[in-house]
Amino acid sequence: MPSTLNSDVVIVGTGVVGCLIAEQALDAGLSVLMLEAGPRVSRDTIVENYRNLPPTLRNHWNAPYPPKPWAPHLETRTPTEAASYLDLTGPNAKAYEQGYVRYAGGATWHWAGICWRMTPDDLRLKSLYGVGRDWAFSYDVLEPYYARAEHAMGVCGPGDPALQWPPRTARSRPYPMRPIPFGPGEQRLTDVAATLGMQNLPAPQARNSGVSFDGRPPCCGNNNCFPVCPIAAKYDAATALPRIEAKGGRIITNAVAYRVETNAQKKVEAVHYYDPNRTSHSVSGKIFVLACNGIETPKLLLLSADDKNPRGVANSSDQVGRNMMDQPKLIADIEMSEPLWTGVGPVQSSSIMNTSQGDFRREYAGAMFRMENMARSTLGGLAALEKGLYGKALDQEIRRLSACTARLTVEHEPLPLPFNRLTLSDKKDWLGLNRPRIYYDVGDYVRRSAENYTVPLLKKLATALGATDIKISPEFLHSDHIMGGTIMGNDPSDSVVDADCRAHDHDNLFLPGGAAMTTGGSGNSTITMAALALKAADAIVGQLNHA
Amino acid sequence: MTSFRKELKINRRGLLLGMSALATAASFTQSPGLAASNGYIHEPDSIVQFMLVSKLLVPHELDPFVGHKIYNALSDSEEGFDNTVTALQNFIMKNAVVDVEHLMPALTDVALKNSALKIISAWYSGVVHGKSGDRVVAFEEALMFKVTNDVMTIPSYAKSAPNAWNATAVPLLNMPSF
Repeated sequence: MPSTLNSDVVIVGTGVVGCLIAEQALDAGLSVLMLEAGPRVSRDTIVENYRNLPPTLRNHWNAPYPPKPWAPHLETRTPTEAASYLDLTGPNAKAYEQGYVRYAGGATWHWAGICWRMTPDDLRLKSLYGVGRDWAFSYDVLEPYYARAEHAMGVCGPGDPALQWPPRTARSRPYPMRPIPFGPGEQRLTDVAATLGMQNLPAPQARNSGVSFDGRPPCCGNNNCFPVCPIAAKYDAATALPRIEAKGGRIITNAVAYRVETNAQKKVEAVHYYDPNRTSHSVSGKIFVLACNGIETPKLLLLSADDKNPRGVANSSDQVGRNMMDQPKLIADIEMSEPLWTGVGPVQSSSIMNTSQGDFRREYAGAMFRMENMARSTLGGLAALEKGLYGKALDQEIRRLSACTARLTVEHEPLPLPFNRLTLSDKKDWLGLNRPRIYYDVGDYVRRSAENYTVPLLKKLATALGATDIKISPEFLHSDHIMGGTIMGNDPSDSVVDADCRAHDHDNLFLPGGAAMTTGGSGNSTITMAALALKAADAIVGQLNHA
Repeated sequence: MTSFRKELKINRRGLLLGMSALATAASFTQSPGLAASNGYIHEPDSIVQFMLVSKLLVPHELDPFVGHKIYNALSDSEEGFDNTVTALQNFIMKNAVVDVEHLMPALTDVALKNSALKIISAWYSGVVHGKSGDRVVAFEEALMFKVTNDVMTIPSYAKSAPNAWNATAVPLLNMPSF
């Protein structure tokens, strides 16, 4: 039976952005209804899915999250699977194989938890270096929202200003928890990098450090932040769902939004969704928030094209789906003569950030360097078995390959380039909806950086660590930080949302999160998405109270 | 406790070596004393035999429960797996083989050698590659984790109490006993 529902605030998506806004709205006394395309799955189910994977598939982060037919997301176990949802083209299609989860809780199920703030300079690329765009506001405007996001998600980080990021920038509040200790690998990287002038900082991370926080336990170093933290020591939005319900919020899962309906006054009137039986329902409300990630949000806006919005909803600027960004990543798999010993503590717990800033950004991209801190016993074990070894020689080789190998990564800051574009594919999904088609070219700014700056530095770092063999990925890969598709700006003619993530075209439609980001910086995007969500939440509450 | 465990291991290993060296005519499965010492009472003979062959191929403490699952998976994926295990056992006894380092170079039958490697692989990786796909038979019990368990975490299992780990690197040569 088709149904018609109503709420003050209608939120599409139950990831970190949607959940933060839902709680703010509920706390302000507003009614909230959330739509989630995928299912709601318990943590123990995902952990068991992971443990029952063959070891060769355990580094496919999407593998423990089988999608429902009506809510597909990228799967990578086979090339056929990888091509079955995202329709990717362009010279760097591989670099846009974005991993996200269409489950209640969203992609924070398998994020690393790393929370690097953007820097004041990251928000002024055009003014300072003549590239990219400037944000609609300065860092000072964003800072209080960063602090709120850090406390809302439970971010641990260093108290010593010399170890904080951005450098020499005031913080309005300290981190709510002290930093997580390093294991041997990250300590060694820190010491070695310092000899090259590269400062490996303890990462601010949304992981409970030493104490419980927000009803979640402290991290016990399970070294499995992705694909899933088994104990919820790491923040993920799934942990917010029961709280949202306890505050009166309603969450409808397996509800695939497929059309945003506007009226003659350019206001959004309803969101229409399909249930798994392909029955259509609608939800009306006062404010609508699309927070279904940087791919699904522009896709939904384009799917909603009609006579009133011929290029799609919120798209008078023709910028919806353009400027798709991520940090193009290169990896170096290295073998060393001495043990490094990763696999102690979280899977990521530090990064080199000072390589992301500087005047060179006039010419080429800044970048973040880091080391994967995952236990490498599985990789070492499988590689040694592949050699046909047995007995003592097998044990020795597993131990050597586990301890004396590492993966270094470099993630480049992207520029918002309008030709990197999401459109609707002529290929359809299970519900008959167009799949997202994305053209992606990392651009010369990133290519010049790799050639002149980051790859030489990566080799230097590897050599300083004692590498006897260095294998660098032959092409750019994805970092799973989806940004740009509904870009923010002050000018409605070349941007989609304003400084509060409100659509220029429809004043009761908000598009917060990664898609709104004007530039990407070099660090992980989630904390900026969360800060933008809180800023949008303030605007939503203010707008409804004013009304 | 540690010395007691070591003594136990030596006794078990000594027993196996002794039997092998003497090339006793009696099969392992007909030795109730040995079966009892390994906790295999009431197990089918085929599994007892598999565990004894496994103990020579993989010179570590082996979990009989995992062994049971590996045996079942290999039996399903390889035709005549019982015969293969019997052939390995016969070869070990006939040639008085004392350990896997001596066994593998001596195994000139390629099929038999590959089967031995499959058994080793299953114990270490926790997976059996079958005709109808991979069958996971162990996660935390997979021996590849034991080799580095003095430092590295078994992913998804707690490393320690909250924040109780540190940056101490241990020598590569300090192989854990397992």
